[in-house]
Amino acid sequence: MRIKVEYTSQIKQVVGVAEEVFELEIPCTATELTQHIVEKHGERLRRLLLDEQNQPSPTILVFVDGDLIRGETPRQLQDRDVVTYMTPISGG
Amino acid sequence: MSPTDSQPSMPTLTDEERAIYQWQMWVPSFGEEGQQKLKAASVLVSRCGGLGGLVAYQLAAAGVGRLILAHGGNVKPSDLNRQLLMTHDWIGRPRVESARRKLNELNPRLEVVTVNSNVNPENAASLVGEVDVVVDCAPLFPERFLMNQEAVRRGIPLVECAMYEMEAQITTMQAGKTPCLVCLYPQSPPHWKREFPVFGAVSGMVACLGAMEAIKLIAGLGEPLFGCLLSCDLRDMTFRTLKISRNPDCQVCGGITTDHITAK
Repeated sequence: MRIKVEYTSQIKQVVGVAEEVFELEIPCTATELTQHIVEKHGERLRRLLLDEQNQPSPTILVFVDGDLIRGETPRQLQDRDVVTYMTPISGG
Repeated sequence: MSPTDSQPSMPTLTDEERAIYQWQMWVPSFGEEGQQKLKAASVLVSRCGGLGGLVAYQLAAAGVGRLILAHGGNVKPSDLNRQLLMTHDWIGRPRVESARRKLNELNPRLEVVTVNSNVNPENAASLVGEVDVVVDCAPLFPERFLMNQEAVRRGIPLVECAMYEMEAQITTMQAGKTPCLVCLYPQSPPHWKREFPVFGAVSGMVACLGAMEAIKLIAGLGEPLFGCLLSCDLRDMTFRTLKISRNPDCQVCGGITTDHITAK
């Protein structure tokens, strides 16, 4: 299946692009997608997206088709879903 | 409860105020009554730099009656690319005094309460408890969490504005109705740094949105960003409206309904 992934703020800086498309095997959860993205982009992204147990960081916001999902609820992705990763920002 | 329900009667407008605010009183569903609500309202803006300073400036222009500005420290050269209430001749002197001076130049009727300190555990409850709306423009999460906690406890709406580089985020929170800041971020984000890349036009853009959210809350106008996070990237002009939801296990607002909120 084809998943479009959007990156914002510090995540976008680390990845170097605002969005990319992943071709994934079915089934795949949002958490598995996060692991996949980290494997592709390396240690700096791992430190941003994952905690010390290599689980999605509780301070990263992940949206599927515009809806916030929470880490404790496995979310099965569907073909052509758009997944948006957002880091907390606080600048004023 | 809306922020102004507790007001028994609205202040009348003077002829000078009618002349100044005439064009915005033409906005449908706002009118003279909306202007009276702004005049009666009190707003906390923390801090008043590149983002909060522009929030305060727009609220002063719109005719809000009272602003509380909390921001510690003196004006530095590196403030002047974005902090439009600070002036070159004020370098080395308190930011809040520069802000007060500029705001009262624009609107001498405005009551400006200055606090030469950032929001902290000692002042958070008293500052939030004095106002109808809080606009959170602080650059550090501990300050934001303090305002969030007090806003939830008192049922006071909180406009959350933030920016980084050429991106901005804004949402409006109301305890019992929307997620609170801790629903989104259950702990202080480990990667946020005190210093961040910023253009004044980016912080000013989200500041105008934040000021408009405060005006809408006070006047009961339009639809605030309840349950929605507006994300803007001015690098490619992408604007997204994302849905956010409460965390039922939130340590700050979990279990709170609008019925549980104690009156201010």
